[in-house]
Amino acid sequence: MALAPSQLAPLVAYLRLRLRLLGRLLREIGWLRLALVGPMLLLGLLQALASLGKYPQGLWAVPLVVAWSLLGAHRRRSDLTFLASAAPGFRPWLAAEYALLALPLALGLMALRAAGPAALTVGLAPLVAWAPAARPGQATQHRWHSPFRSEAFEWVSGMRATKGLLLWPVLVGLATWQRASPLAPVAALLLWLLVVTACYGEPEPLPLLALAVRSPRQFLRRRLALGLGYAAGSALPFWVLLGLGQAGWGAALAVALFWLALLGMVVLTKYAFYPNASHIRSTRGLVLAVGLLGAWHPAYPPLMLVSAAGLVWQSQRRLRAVLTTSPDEK
Amino acid sequence: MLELTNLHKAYGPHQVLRGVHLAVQPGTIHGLIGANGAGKTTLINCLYGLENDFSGTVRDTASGGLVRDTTGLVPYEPYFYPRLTGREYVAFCLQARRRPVPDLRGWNELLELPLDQYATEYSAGMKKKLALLAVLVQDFAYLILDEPFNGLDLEANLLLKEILKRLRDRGTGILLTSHILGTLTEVANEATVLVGGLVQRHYQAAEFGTLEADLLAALHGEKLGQLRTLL
Repeated sequence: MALAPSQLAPLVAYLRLRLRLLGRLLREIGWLRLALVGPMLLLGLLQALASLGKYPQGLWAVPLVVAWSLLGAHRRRSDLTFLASAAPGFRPWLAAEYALLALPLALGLMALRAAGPAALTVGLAPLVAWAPAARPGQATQHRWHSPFRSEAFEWVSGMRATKGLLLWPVLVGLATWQRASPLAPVAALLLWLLVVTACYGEPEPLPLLALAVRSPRQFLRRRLALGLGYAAGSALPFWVLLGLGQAGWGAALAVALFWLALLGMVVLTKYAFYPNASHIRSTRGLVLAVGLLGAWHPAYPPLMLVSAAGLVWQSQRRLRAVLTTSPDEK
Repeated sequence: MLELTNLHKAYGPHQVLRGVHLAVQPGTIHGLIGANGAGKTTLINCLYGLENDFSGTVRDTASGGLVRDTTGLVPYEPYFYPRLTGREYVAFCLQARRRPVPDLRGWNELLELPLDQYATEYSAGMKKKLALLAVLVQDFAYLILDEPFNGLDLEANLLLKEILKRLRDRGTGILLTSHILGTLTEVANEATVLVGGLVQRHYQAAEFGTLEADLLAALHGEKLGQLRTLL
């Protein structure tokens, strides 16, 4: 049954609102960064799809990854309570929004003649809209204190938000099950990298930063050492699986170093653009796109090296500026 | 009438509301009083359908439908999208409920908001006024206002009291929470005191004279004894 225009009006108003917010966010990010990020992300996505296209079974992972990513973002949306009170019938609007977001990937899958995964991508995404919001209160009921929690605050909140601690054993299990193919641990590492990098998207409050920083260089070294240490511990099973498989220990070591280098750049990105969350996330997208394209194309590693050096310089500069400027001036 | 009967709500092992009864009549202002953590906001969330896993009944006796269909809510901390102006926020609130967007000039002559600035850049008081504006232009049968006087200066406080009285006189039923007891008793027709998730007592306006002393005894019974020894 067709819907009357008056019934569609709230949905149109909502989608228009989201578009307006997106447009203003993109304007804030700036055309230069967009000109770099956009093509890189697109190329990275096409490259990933083309690589997955060689393994038809692997394409079925796309709808699951898309739904999982949407679910993580949906449960952390800060506007869910507002929408529930201002717009009681808001869930179908979110479903339409998520279907639209998943559509480009579904079209990409269609181009690879994977109609089943494409249909599942568009079919699963809207269902996410009915998931409840994450309840921050639940975590505080079971709080416990330890040096780990205070030092690894990004991991504590990030893993809670992405449900990474549930995903990790699943990824290890799947990679172990499919260990005959080197693609399995590499794909698991890629997914795990996305989870871990999500921990570094939210800038910590300035008072916390001001308390922890003695000098920008010392602070960055510590954050990098701790972040890479935790990440290495969590990624170790994937590297071991890769080393034990056809790829061998040399390839496993190369992948491990490359993986840690990417994560290190993501950690630096957080402080290079502190405290602007949109700039942090867009540059993180750029870093990941450049880094992951580097895995396939020999022209990109030099670009990655230049980016890494730039991030080290910019993060120290930014921290120095933030800590010596009063809040009103920033 | 908005009616809430035998409401129980718990977060894990922690019981927040324990058998609460409350009714908001059309054309009245009902004050909801309690210390922080007494369960006021949880009660409002249950009443408005923002919480689902509770026991008891919540209903709009006139329409028989959902409370939020006929009721506007101004939460304790209103949410505003980043990069959205005050005018766009109000327009979206109206469009979301399929209501036409009226000329806001009349209301804004009262509230004096910079509607073309991003709402996230407003002060705390201006944010509260913007959230109020979004419900005032919608002509709801009932309003639930969680600490609407928070962050308002003297002028805005006086104006809001007058707005609430006029809405009541036009037949709007209002559930109002406030820590400012004097302001609440000036405008309310009745009040419910919530202590530790239980209704301690319902008061009619004529009984407000004993409200402060009763609250002091309920909240600070032991401390009063200590105070007497000190002063």
